[in-house]
Amino acid sequence: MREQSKFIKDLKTVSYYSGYIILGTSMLMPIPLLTSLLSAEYNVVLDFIISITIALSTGFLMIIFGQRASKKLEWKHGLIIASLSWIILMLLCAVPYYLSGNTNSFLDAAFDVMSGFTTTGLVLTQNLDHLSLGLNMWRHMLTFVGGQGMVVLALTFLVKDTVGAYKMYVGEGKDIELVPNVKNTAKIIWIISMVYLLTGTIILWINGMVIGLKPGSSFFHGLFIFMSAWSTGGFAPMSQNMLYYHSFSYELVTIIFFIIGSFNFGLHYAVWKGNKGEFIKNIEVQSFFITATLTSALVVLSLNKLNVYPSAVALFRKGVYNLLSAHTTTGFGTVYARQFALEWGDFGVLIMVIAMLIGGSACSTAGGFKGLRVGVVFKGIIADIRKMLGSERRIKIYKFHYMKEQVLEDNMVKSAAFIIICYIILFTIGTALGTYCGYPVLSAAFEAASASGNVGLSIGVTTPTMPSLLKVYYIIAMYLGRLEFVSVFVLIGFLFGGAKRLCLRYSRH
Amino acid sequence: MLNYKNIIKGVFSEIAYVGVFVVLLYALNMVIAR
Repeated sequence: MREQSKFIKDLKTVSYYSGYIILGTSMLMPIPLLTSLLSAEYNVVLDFIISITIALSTGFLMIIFGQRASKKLEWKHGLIIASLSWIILMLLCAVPYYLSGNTNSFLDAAFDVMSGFTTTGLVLTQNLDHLSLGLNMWRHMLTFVGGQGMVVLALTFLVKDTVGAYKMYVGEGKDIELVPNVKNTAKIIWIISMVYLLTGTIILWINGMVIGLKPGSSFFHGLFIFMSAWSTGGFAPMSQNMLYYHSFSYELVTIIFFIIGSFNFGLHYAVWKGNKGEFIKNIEVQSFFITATLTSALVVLSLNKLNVYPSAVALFRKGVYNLLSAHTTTGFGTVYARQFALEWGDFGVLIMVIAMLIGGSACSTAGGFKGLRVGVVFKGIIADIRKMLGSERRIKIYKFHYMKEQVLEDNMVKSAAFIIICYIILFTIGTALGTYCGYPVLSAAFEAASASGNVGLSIGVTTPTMPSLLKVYYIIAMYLGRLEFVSVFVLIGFLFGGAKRLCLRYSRH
Repeated sequence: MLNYKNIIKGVFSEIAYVGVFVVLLYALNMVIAR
């Protein structure tokens, strides 16, 4: 009995804080509602009124349910709150999609929301070219907010308690504190994102007008594309993605912003404070520059050998652009999905898969293994080899630079290797499931890497007609990949533990 | 702490660093494609 009541108490604490996170994200809905109102899309206005009512009611009910519970957060609470909020928000934020009639089913709507939140960019929404402005605003806002994190949003504006805030913050896959107070860290993350949002939108707005878009249209294209680029999301307002613009300058601007977006928030803060040396010394930046250069060179070599593109400029715009988009886990594409399978050759596709799995930086908007873990495991291997070659009596300390000089310890290498192994398992199951559903191995691997690495590039597997089993698996892969496993494992353990206790109690009676 | 001057300098520095990297990649692409 005591065990069961402990489960209910924990559930109430989780419900209380999750309610606030749901309220925080629901309060963003008035922005697309207003956008629809101004562009006279009255059906969409109604969709958002219904959605806001459902979302706010859910949030308030969860707060009321947990109001009398202990507000003292343990580690498990923080991790469960983050992982549970993401699932509930996926369902609530899918309502406007579903009501719009642009998705085949509620599953497709939920898929697109999870794709947005996790900054993946895979799309099942249909008729993108004629989507309402309000729903387009909602899609891109979800990916922008998902990049910073819904917990970060709630910490900045709604949650007053700072004692347990760090535990929720960690649960969302972020672990760096820019300043000693986690609420201020969350605020700084938002300041960095908003400054770049302003800068990037203005640059893309001007660029859009230069390439022939009308001022109003150019503004919204610039805003949407920047939101996607910064959050390494990959959504675009048009179905042709970046191909729609046919502009080298537009592509160059987006390359720069999605690479910056894939960097750690700690790195932005260090550079902004005047510590420019961090950009050169940081193990994550070094790791990214090395792997991005190597994979770009390999893709260009491969495409050049196959003679796919007629000029060196075309090779850069198609080959290097898509490779960098994959490596930063953005998902912007300058080729049609099937061209990867039909023109790029097996080697080119394989390099793309590797780049997608490596991904961007830890504590950024990007997905994948993360450069930090690749760097730490690589240094760990080198250190082990040196230890074996060197004298047994000599103890050498190995260091790396990540915001400060750090000693390379065995447990760091182990935990980095653990997360990398989890990603590989997720990717392998996705590939196996894809082949089971009848897709060629390389196509299944490409799509599985894209979903588990939160990339968003597609080789043509992700369509509204693909099997529901695969849709559900990709949702799980995107979710696990974004939250980096641990908090989801804790949520599963908590729910199974609670269910087991309830079953035991009833079986005794 | 952050002030406007630092923020503007920081944004330009990051854009410049990444810009240089992209230019170097472009040059590498030209060399390989030749």
